[in-house]
Amino acid sequence: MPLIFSQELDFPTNRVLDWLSFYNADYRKYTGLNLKDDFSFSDKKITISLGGINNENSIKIKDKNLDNVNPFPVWFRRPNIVSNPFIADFEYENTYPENLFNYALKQRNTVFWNYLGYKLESDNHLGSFKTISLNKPIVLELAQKFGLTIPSTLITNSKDDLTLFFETNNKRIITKSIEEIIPDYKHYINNEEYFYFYQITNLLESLDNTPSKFAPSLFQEYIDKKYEIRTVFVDGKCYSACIFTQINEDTKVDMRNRKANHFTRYMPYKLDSEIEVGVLKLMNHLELNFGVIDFIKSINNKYYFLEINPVGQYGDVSLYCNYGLHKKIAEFLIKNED
Amino acid sequence: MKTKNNTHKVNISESEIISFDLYYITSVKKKEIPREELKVEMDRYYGKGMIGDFYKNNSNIFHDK
Amino acid sequence: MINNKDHFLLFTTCVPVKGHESSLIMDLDKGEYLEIPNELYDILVADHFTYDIGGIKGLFNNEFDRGIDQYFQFLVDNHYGFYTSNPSPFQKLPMHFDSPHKIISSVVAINKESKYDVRKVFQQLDKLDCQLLQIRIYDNIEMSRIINALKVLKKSSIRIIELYVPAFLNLSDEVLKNIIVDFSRVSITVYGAQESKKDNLVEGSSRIIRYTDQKLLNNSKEVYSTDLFIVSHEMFLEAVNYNSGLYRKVCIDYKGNIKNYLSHETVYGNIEGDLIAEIIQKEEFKEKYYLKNDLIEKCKDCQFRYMCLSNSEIEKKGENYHKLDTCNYNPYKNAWE
Repeated sequence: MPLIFSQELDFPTNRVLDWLSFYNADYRKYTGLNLKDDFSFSDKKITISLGGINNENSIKIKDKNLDNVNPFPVWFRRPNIVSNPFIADFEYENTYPENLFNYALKQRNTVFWNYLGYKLESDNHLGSFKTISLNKPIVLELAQKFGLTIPSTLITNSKDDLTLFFETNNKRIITKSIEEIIPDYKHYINNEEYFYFYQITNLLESLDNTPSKFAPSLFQEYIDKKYEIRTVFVDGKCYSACIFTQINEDTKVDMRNRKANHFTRYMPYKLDSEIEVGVLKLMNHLELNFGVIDFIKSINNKYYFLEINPVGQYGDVSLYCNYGLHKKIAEFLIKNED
Repeated sequence: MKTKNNTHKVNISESEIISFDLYYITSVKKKEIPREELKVEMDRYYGKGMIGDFYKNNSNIFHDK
Repeated sequence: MINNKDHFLLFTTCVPVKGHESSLIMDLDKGEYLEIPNELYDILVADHFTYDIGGIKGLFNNEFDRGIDQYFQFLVDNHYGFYTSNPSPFQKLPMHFDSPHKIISSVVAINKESKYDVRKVFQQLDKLDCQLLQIRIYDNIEMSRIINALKVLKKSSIRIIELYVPAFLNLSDEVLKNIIVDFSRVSITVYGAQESKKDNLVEGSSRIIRYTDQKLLNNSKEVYSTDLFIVSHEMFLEAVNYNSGLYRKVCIDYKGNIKNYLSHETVYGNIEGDLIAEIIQKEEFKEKYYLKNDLIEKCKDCQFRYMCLSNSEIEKKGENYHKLDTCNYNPYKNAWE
């Protein structure tokens, strides 16, 4: 019985559940929002036993032994959403500062959750609970190691070195967050209107009026794109789409900058096999069997690896290129079941 | 500071502990599209699903221009 | 400038469709279509992966070089296609259609003679993951019967429930409002009304009650009109592979008979004695699923065949299939008659 860690409303999750029901498969979805979920522990018992002379290891939830159900297929679709399995409001009255206390709570929950995720990763799982900790510089370095070309990249806290990098890259560089730490945030002005805060890739064509002091930050050369390639990696296979972002002025630097009613052209695409092999090696190394990978094809016809989003949206690629990925994911989840 | 994105930024003071990209948090003013009533609890999904929208019609029997 | 060494490719979501007299490009992303002459269709469906623009011109004996240049440039300027020196990484659109819904759509009819258990029908349709449900009420019947039955669909994954009720039932605004408030999936059309209009009964909501002065009878026919055409990715792929009206459709007439569509004569079972799930497994029942427009006389010559929805009965005369209820469009004259 597949277990799916997702959120309350996630379209790809629902489409995969449609396919699971089509195959008459039983399944469970955990959002962490619902106390009825087995993996929300505020109101139910969880006991993990390890070691001792008899080596009797077990995980029991509500006295139900998880090992008896294991191995079951697990899809870590959006595991980070569920990473706090304890739902509670409490009055904090203490001399120890509340923000530090909350930080300590969060860290402990994360370790506990990661351990559960580690236990839940059976042979047949898609995605990973570790996805929260993909480190951008590490991924870039590994991509390079496995033969993929990455844009010239600088991590520095020196304005002088940044200036030099800027000059050597034709005065066009981009700033990127080193880690996706800024969650999208809506600040309501009234019932209907709000300010939406988010981070996108920014093009810098001048360093005037930019900060002179900053913590180590990531910069990359700006690459003139012919198009973007988005590759959905599922269980060892690459499903790629060419995305014609250059048609619209708005999406030239960052595809997320598109206006609501603008459409973007997608086309089924086949990456060179050396690149697919590089992707395979990279994903194997990271122990990921799912990820949405972004590439750029430059106007000089070179492919540049940009990043992996292990919980990325793949519905657009699946629909526009008719890859049927929801069905493939559902089939993956039930293939080893009796 | 010139960027291609015509959005206002958050005012963050300069410091050696704040990374460069954080000066580029952008914000846009948006209007809520009233879609909440289209998100409905569905047993099949152990959560919510969308209603009111499908890729085709059922049977066109009335036709008001 | 056009380079004869480049290849011209249409985006895969811009699909040329040929009609007898006129062709078009369906733009699946925008939900629109562009009318084009048949000559251009022939040029567009030539093998652009193998032949560059110069080669394509050669295929047409260089008789249309100027026209080809102009059309290609027009299509590139309007984002229907693009030039590339290397077409090989670009792939064709896989043309299969796969749906996870065992039943996609259903029409259920109820009149004063109807004795069957509507609840049972809804429960079965829900189990089969039906997405579109149309409920047609013909006579003066007790609405509470329908309202009670609808309760079983409260947490179903159905997307749209259209409820057609006659104006002569004289349902009050209060009753209508309660239905759409209680059942978020339900949209109501009151037919046979004095005037066609839309009423917003619920404050702060986009939900409306639709009134139409048109009548609904047991033998009402479907409407065909350009503004009812649907240009979408899934509709296109479904129509290329199947009969987009009848594919995974099951209908229950006022006697509880199980049919492909209400107006069809063939009855495959009755809700009182048969399970829908079993009936739809029968090969005879599924036969209509596969009778797509490409196989039907007239429709196969029509450029609108992948965007037009029809649930008509299909007759076999000799070796050819015909629709019994058809439209007024004549693809041989490119004219609505």
